[in-house]
Amino acid sequence: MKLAAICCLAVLPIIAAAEIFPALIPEEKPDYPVSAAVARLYDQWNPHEDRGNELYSNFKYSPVEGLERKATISRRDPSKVLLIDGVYHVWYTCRKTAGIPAGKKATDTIPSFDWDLCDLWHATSTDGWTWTEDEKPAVTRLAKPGYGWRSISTTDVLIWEGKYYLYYQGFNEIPGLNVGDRAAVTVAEADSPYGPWKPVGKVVVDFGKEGEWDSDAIHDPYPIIYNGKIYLYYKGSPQKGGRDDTIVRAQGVAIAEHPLGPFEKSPMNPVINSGHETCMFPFKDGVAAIVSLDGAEKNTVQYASDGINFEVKSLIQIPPVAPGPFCYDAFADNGNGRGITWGLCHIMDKESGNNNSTLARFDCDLSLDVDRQVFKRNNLRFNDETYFQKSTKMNGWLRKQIEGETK
Amino acid sequence: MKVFVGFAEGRDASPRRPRTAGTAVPTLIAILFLMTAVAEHKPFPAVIPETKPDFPLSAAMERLYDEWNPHEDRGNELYSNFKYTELNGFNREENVSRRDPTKVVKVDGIYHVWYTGRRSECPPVGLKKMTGTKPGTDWDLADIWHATSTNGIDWVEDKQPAVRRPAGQGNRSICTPGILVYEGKYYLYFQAYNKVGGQEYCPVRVAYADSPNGPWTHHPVNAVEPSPEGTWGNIKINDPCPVVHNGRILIYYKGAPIERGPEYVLRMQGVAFSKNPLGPFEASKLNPVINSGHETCMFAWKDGVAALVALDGPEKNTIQWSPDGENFKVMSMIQVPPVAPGPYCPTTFEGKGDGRGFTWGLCHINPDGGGAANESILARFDCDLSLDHEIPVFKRNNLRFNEQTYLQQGVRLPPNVKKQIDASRKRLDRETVR
Repeated sequence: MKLAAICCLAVLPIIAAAEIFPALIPEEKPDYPVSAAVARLYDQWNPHEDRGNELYSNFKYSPVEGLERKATISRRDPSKVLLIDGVYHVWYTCRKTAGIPAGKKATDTIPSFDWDLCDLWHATSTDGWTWTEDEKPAVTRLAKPGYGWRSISTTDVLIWEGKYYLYYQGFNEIPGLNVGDRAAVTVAEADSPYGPWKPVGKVVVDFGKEGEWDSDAIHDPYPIIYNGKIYLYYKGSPQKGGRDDTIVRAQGVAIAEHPLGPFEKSPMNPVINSGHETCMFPFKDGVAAIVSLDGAEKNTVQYASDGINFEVKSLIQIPPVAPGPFCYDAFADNGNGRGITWGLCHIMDKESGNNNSTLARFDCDLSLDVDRQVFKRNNLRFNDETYFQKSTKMNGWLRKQIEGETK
Repeated sequence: MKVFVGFAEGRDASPRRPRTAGTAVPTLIAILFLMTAVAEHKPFPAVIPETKPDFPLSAAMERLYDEWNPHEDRGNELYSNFKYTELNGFNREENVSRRDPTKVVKVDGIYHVWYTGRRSECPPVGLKKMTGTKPGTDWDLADIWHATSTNGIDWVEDKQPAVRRPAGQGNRSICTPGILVYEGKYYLYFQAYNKVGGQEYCPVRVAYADSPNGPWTHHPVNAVEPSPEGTWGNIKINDPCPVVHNGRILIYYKGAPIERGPEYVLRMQGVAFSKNPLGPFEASKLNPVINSGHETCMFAWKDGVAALVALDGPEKNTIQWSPDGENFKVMSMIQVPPVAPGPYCPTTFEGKGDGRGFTWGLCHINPDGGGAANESILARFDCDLSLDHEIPVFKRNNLRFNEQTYLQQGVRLPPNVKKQIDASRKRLDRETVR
């Protein structure tokens, strides 16, 4: 009797305590009733949330040194960064024009948008912080009517059997004047990262047919090697800005066994439902993606064990725009992707009227080879200038509309 | 993804695969089936199908239908971006801090808000150097202040605090209030510290009044206590946020344990119920009910409760919804959300099961981007999380930031981390595999 009482006393507090979620996070999902939020902590995330998540990181930014800044110079959409014989290489969209973007008033020498009248430029670095730009473009627009005569942009790099390939968008009209940003993907090849580059002058990933999700834009080509093939991810769009209930933009993949094609689009496209720019990297035996800005799953890191079926792995903040990561194993195809710790991205000036972009460096910890706790923090705070900048500050016309509605 | 495998085979292999005349019937049927699948497949259309297509979809497109909605954020009543406005009437003064506003309530045509107010002899000096008159943090030595407005932008602050620190629990600082309007009376719930610090005991107290203009009476009994020893919210109950739902008063709060370390709960959000605004409040057996977020911001939405979950945790920067107030689901992902938002949301106190959401409220900003060591300011946010309005500009999601945003303290790479990165560069940055 006495023993039984002691047993009861000993057991009761445990039962009682087990009903309330403990301070010490259980490694396994508790077997007592938990809320949907706690269940997700185990089913979708992990009990130690972002700090226990290899595919979560915050991002810290540094200015890139060594590149001249000017109102009429723009650098954006950097490629992946390569390290070849001790030298870092990056390629990017660069515009050095007679004036700043003028929209519908564009001419032969005045750009419409930031990515009009661009060529592909190349810069090198020995430390990743200070960069030296070549004196001439790596790839120059072909003369009209060559493919991409008006502007070439948004490039990314592939090494395949010792040769180098730059994939990029080719504009054959002034971007934005007629049907938006109508451009498909072409490629240039070289034997060395220093060139010379030979544009093939034809499309390698073409628009979908009229009425298909990627009918009017194949943007942001982003190749990696996966399962022995070239997986070229891209952003596709019917370019209607969502009008008539159309898809605004999504990401697909086209697969080839040779860099010049033929590229076959995955029948599962689109494979990413959100994001403005493509950024994929091999991770373990699958493919990870940084998905930023647009769509229901904006600002997430995702992972697909087959390169096709992506799942949300983490929610991120202030991610890099148009990231080009340093990803040494992007072409290794060894089923053991190690992730990334830094790269280049761009920042666009939408405030001064110059409408140009600059390259910046981001650092993070989306790598299996390093453990930097500072990058696992998620309580990111901003100063007042962040909230009151042009894109987040209330403006006059909107204020009027709201006041009109609330009266 | 068996469907995909079957489909791929059908498309790539079967038409080309040589077949002998004596092929078994099942194989023929299989080929016919696969060919039918081929015939049915079309690339995903530009016009988004209203219902989930029956051809094979990637996981991402499945989610667009199963978890989100085919028109993503622009078709989502619980998605919004946020636009910010500086307020008039709250002068920025040294050693004066205003933060953690309550919901805004409108009484007889006047908007009312309460918030943490600190007027001290110096800026916060940190927990080690604080004294009887020198605050340790931004919310130390604080009282609850009150301001009114006729338009939501120009505010007039009372000359004195609405609720002063009581003699008992809360004698060091009272802060982070939440307002409840219930059966014609007003209730302010707030954190009550005898000592401010990382892991100091903090229950929630309540004061009540017959008018939004006071006078306020402290209720002698704490409204919400920390959870028992060893459990997730055993030392601090922060950020009380009352909602009326299903005939009960729900107080949501942020809880934290005294234990610190990566293996422990850092902070999560729970809920406690009562039929009486003065309590006793009984904690939900399912707590915590929100696994992320730094501040509570719950509001009545349709027949359930929605929450704006900002900062912290795997589900940072999301809007969530729960039909029962306890089981929340992520409804949207948001960007640069208001910090410590207090929306103008009258249906939250009506308890009619017909929450209409909100279009604006107040929040706080710490001008230097820090958290605890400086004066905060109140600001206004506008959005479209309302069933009664449709303002498409708030459904946009392609939010861009200026260079200053990326290079502000806290977002810019700090020099000490750069040193670490440089030191490990040779090990981590391997030659591109080629």
